[in-house]
Amino acid sequence: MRRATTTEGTTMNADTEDTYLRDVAKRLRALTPAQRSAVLDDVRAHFADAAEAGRTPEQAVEGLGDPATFTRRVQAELGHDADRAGRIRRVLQWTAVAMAVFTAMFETFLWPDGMTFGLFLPIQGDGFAVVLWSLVPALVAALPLVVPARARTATTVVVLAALTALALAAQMTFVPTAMLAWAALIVPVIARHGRPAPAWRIAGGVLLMLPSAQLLSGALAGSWGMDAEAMIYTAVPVGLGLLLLVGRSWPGVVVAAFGAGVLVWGTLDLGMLFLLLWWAGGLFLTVGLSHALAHANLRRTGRA
Amino acid sequence: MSEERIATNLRKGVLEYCVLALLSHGEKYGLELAGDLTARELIASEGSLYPLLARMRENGLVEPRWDTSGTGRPRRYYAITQHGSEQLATFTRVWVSLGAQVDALLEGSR
Repeated sequence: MRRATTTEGTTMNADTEDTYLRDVAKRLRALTPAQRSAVLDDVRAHFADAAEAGRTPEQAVEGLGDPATFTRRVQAELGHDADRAGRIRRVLQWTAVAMAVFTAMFETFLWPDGMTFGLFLPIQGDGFAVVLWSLVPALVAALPLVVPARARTATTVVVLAALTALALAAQMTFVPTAMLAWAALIVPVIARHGRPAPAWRIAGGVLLMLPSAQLLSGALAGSWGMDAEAMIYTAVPVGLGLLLLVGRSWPGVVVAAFGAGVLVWGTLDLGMLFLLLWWAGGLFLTVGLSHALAHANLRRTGRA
Repeated sequence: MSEERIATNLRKGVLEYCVLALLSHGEKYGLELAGDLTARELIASEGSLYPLLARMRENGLVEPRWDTSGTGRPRRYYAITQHGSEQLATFTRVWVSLGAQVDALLEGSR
């Protein structure tokens, strides 16, 4: 009877073990390849030893604990990236604050009279008051960084709602700030176990190509001609979008640096397409930085 | 604090040295090591041994190897390293002196 079920039993063993190993491998993506493969070797050896001791694969799993608990223990012991998500969140949130300050400076000192893109400055006259007023979004963006951990999620959501409303309804120059604040909410979640699934960087790459689509549709509609310069403007985001398909950190750094460059350039060369340029810069910075952080190799030596 | 809680806290601090002590008598494979530790009520299950071994491996205290010399399937053995032996010797000194102090205090408090 026992002999008759051997084949079926072996298949089932392999299934339980494979499922467990796959789940553990997925959850330990943030570890170095060497650390991860050593842990997986331990698990493989455990299954084999348990089988030899007459235990079923289910009993072997019972001894280890479910993959979530087991990998949490491994990460806790290795002192590894317990705060990976927190670090990503802080970097993006601080960048949102910096972006808000940069936007405020730009609006106060460089914005030419007579140009309005829903510019909203209720205080007129005194320059100092204008500076203070324009820094309010930066202070709002910094709130999630200073509130206690308990209130953080609620604060982040309220701040996001406020920044998004400000950016879309009143002051469109704050769109990049809002984008970074959104990234600070989303990216830590998708990258908490290590590198996110390839679908995320494909989505990031597609997002980067949006300005090209905008330029192309403008050209097709006859808003502007498709000269050599416009073709370069169209090609660059496509190239950067393709670059993001490389699942490493550096393409994100390149894209983010390019985005920062576009933002600075936008403030120096105020043209007809200023807002498009400004938003594109913000988009490149947000997506690039998110990509770089999510794909960073967070290697840390074990506790001594 | 409950008896269990006190015991858990104390075990946490000495567990890796117990692993080193067990390995100092010779290399062992995971399940064997886990069996020795659970028999002494030092861990509840294998689920806490492998994560601990991961850290000890990272810190160079133990070293795994696949033994393929036998007739059966390969087995993954853990051995104590030179650094591990030194750490165990240091721990032994600390434990003896600390244990004596605590014992003396407990005797005196009776």
